Amino acid sequence: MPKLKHEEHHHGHQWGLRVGTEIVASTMIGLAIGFFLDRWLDTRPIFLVMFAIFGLAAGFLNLYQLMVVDLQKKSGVDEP
Amino acid sequence: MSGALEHFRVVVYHELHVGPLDLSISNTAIYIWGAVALVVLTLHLMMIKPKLVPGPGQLLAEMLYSFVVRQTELNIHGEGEKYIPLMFTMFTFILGCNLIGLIPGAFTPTSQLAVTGTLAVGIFLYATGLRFYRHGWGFFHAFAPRGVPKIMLPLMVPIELLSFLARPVTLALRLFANMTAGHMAIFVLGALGMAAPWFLQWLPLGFTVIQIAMELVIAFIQAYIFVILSCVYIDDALADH
Repeated sequence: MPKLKHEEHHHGHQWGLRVGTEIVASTMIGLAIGFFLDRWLDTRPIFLVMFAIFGLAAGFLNLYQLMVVDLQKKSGVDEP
Repeated sequence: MSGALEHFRVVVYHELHVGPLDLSISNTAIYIWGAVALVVLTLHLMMIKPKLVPGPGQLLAEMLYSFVVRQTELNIHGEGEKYIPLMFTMFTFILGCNLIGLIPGAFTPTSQLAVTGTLAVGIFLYATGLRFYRHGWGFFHAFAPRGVPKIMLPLMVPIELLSFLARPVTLALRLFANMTAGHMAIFVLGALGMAAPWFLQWLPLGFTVIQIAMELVIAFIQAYIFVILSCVYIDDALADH
């Protein structure tokens, strides 16, 4: 999991963009995998819907992990 | 608004195909060469006569180098030293590509997803290969986090896998989006300034100056973030899961 380093927090817009790209990219990957699986297996739209949800979940998981690292940095606790 | 996108258009100057490879010389290729030449020449000139007590140029070059060394050793635990040449090359290359685009009329190579994507996929493949080399089939343990109940695994494995596959995309998108958005903002502010009545022109044109200053900072930050995340991915590949 890519960890957000301390210096990155000094720039609010960078932080916002980082969070945005994290969710967008994960969803895009999920959609792409779902789309191609559906095309291959001719099961449209089962995998597209499933992997879109997985992708979104992966984006939020990344976001959650970023937030945990962020909170730990702020409270001075070392990363696990 | 098509004018705002005009300066991101890839123009091929000379068609060149070697087998299946398209090696055409485009403005992207020319500005990448320019960025490399800029970096090599600047660093060479800064270090042309190194002294024990450094002058301003040598000091700047040494500061840049020690900054990358510090970040690499801090983020790749234990084996950071091996990766310093790669990280310094990547940092200065991306910085050169970002900065060359700030010259009026110039093209920004890092505003092309193909360029940032190639860099990101290269690092991702290297880190994945390294992880496979180090851990063998243990590579797949990273997708099944410890402590997760077995019933949750069918749900967690695809999510972890997607989160892993999203890495090169986020890496490429961030650099590309920052560079493109910054240049578009400068263009839009400039166009607004030119279209405004003469007594209001100072406002958008003044913001253009501020935006260019911000772009300079962003050029450094983006090169820094790219290198830091590359270090994190390599460190992740080296670490036990």
